[in-house]
Amino acid sequence: MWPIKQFIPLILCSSLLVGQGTMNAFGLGHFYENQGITSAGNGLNDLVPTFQSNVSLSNPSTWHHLKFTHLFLSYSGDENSISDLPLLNRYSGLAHAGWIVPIKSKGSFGLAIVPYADQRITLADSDTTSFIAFEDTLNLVNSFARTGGIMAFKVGASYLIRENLSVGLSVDMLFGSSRQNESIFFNGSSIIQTSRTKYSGVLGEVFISLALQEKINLFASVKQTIRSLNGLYTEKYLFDDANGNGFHDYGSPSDFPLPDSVSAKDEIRFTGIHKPEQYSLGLQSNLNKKTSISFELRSIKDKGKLPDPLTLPINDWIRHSNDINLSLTRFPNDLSLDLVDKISVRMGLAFKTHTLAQTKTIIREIGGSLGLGFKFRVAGNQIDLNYYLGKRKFPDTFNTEFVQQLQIGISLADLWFVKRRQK
Amino acid sequence: MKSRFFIMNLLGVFILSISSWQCEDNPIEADLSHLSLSVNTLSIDSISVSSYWVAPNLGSNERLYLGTKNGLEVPVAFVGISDHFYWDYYFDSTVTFDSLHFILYSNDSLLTQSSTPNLYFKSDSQFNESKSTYLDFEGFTTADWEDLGLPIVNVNTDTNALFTHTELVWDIMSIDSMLMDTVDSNLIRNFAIQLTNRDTNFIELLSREATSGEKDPKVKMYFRQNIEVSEDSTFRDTLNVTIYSFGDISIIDPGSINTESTNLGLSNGIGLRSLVSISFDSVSLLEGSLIRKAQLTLPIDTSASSEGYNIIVDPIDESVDTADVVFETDPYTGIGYPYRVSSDTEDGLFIISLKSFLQNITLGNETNLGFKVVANEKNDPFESIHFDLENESVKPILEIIYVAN
Repeated sequence: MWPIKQFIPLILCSSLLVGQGTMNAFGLGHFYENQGITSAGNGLNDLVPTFQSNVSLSNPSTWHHLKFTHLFLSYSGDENSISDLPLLNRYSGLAHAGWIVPIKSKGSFGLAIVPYADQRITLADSDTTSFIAFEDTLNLVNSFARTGGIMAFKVGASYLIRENLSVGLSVDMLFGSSRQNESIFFNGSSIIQTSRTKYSGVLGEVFISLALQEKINLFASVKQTIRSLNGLYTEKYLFDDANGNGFHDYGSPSDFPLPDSVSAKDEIRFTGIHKPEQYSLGLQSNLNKKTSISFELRSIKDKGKLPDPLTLPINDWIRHSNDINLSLTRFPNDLSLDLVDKISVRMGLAFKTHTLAQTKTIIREIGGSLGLGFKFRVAGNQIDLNYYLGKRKFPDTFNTEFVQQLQIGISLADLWFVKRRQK
Repeated sequence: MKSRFFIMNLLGVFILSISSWQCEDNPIEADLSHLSLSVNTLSIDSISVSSYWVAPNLGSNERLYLGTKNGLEVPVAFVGISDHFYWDYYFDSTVTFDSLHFILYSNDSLLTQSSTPNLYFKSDSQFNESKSTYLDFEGFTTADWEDLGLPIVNVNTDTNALFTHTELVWDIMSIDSMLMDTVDSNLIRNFAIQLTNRDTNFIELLSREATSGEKDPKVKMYFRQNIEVSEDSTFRDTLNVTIYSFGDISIIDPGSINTESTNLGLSNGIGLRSLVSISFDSVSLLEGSLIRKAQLTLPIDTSASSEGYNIIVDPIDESVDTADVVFETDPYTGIGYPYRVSSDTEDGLFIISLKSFLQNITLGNETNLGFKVVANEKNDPFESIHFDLENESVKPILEIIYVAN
C-alpha cells in the first residue's frame, strides 16, 4: 500500500489550484452538464453506471440496483487558467447532493439538488475607449460582473419493467437568481447599472436501461422542457459608485444619486429564455466481472431565446452542444477483504463541442478524467475522488483555457424505513 | 486496523484540503462593446438671467459697519444684549456693582477715540436681526435715546507685542437703573452706534457672527459679593461676568436703485439678486440617464466685479407670478439643502455644479422653476459682481456629461 503521506502534497497542491471560466460568460452561464465531471461518484459518465456496478447517480433507471438507501454529497473545486496570461480563476462549491431510496429492487425514488448553470463571471474590456467631452479626454473602461446561478431540484424515480429493462423519470425544477453589474469607469469612479434576474422552470427527462446481452447494456435518455425557463428581470437605476464598493449605498462619500431618491424599474417577465432538448445514448460493455468500458453520446439543443434587455457578459450563447465520452471503469469486489479490491477506478476521455448561436463558431474541449473510489462498511459507504483536466479552445477572440476539476464525494448507505425491534 | 488508519489519514488530508482552499476571481479580458452603457454630452446655452432687488439686510454679516463706502451708507448699527439672571444681581443686597462696560471689538490697530462711534441706549426700541432693513428706520433719530458718548479705545497686543485686537469700551454704569428696570416687563436692552465724529467716514467692527464669544459685542459686569461662610464670618469676593448680545445688525441704505435690465449681478449692500432660467426638464436627457457632471458657467464682468466673490445658487421652490423687480422681502424661496450650492468666482467666471438638482429633475423628484442666485452674506456688502452675458468669448452655458443605458 502507498503511504498516505505521499498523497498529501499532491492533494494540497490540487486544493490550491482548484474557477470562473470564459464559458460562464456565454448566455445564461456555464451549464453544469457541460462540465468535465458532474459528480465525483460518476466520473465522466451520466447514463452509464460508474458509481457502483449497475448504478449511476444521475440515471434514475439504474437506481433500483442499489441495495441500500444512499445519501450522497459531492463537492467540487474548479480552476480555469488562460494560456499566455497569468490569469487564474478558481472557486468551489456543491456539485451534487442527493438521497436515493431503492424500493424492493423493483423501483426507486430519489431527490437531488445540483447546480444547473454557473453565472459567476467578471469581465474587463480589453480596450480603453477615449471620449472627448467639452475639451476633456475621458478614458472609459467597461466591465461586467455577474454573480449567482441556477440550481436544479431533481425528483426522480425508476421502475423495473422486465428483468433486462427498466425506465426512469426525473423532473428537474430549476430555480435561482443572478445579479448583473454593468459598469463604466472614468474620472475616478464607476457608473454602474445593476439588475437582477430570478429564474424558474421545469424540465423532464425519461431514462431507459436495457441489458442487450449478458455483457452489453444500453442506456438512453430524452430531456424535454416541461415549462421553459422564465426570468423575472428587475433593472435598478444607474448610480455613481462614489465609495467604490460596488453597491448602491450610503457611505463616505455616498453614492450618487442617494439610494432613497431612486426606485427600481418595473419587473419584466422573460419567457422561454432556455428550452433545452437533449438526447443521450450510452453503451457499456463488461470486459469481466469487475471491469467495463463505456461509450456515451449526448446532444443538447437550446431552443430558448434570450431577450434584448437581458445584457449578456459576452454577446453570444451556446445553441447546440455535443459530447462524446469513452471510459474504463473498474468496480470494487464487494466480497473481497483485500483493501485494494475495495477501490474502484474510473478513467476516461471526453470530447465536447459547443456551437454558439450568434457567431455560429464552435468551442472545442478535450479532456481526461481519473477517479478513485473506496468502498467501506457492509452497506457500501463510499468515498470518491475525481480529477478532470481539459483543454478548451475558443474561436477567435478568446485564448485557450485549461480547466481543472477536483471533486470529492461521500455517500452513506443505510437501511431506511425499516422497523427495528428494540432490544 | 490498517484500513481504519488509512481512512483516518485520508479524512485528515481531506479536511486539510478544504481548509486550505483559496477561491480567486480575476477579471477576464473580453470585447464588451455590446454593453449598453454609453457616455454622452449635452450643452444648453438657452440660459437667461434677470435681476431683482430686495431691501438689504446685513444681520448675518460678520461685521458691524458705520459710515459711507462705495456710495452706500450705513447710518446706524444696533446691538441687543441678552436677558440674563446676572441682571438681577442689581437687587441683591450682598452684591455691590463697581462698573458696567459695553464692549465692541475691531481689527483696526490704528483706531483712535476720535474715529469711534457714539453709543446710545433705549429700552423700548426693537430690531430684528434677520428681517430689519433701512425701510424700518426711515427718519430714524437718536434724539430720544440715552447718549453714552465715545468709548475708551484699548489696543491689545500679545506677549510678543504683536497686535491682536482693539477694544472699544463704554462705561454704562450711568444707565444701570434702566438696564435693570423691573417695572418694564418688556425690557429690551438695545444699543445703537452712530458715527458722530468727522475724523473718519467709515469703520468696521466685529459682529457676533465673527467669533464664538471672544470678540462678540458684550456687557461686562464688575462687582463685589459678600458670601456668608458661617454665622459670624463673611467672605468678600471680587467678580466679573459677561453677558453677550442676542443680535446685531448694520442698517444699510442702498440709495436709489437702478433697475435697468442690463444691471445683472449681485450685491448684498444694494440687495441685488438674480434669477437664472435654464431650459432643462425631465426629458432633456435619455430616460434613465445618470449625470456625471453638470457645470453651469456664467461669465463675469471683471471690470466691475470683485474677485473671489462667493455666490450661492438655490433652486426655486415655488414659482412667483410677478412683474415687479423691487421687493421689501425676497419673494423667491429656495429649496435649500441638499441642492443649495455655492462657489467663488475665479478668472472672470462663475462655475458651479448643478448635478444633484438636475439629476433629481430627470428622476421626477423635482421641477425646474429656475434658480435664485444670491451673494453669500459673508461677502463685503459694499462690493458687487456683474454678469457679462454679452461676452463674445465665453457664453453662459450648462455642460452636462451623462451616462445613458
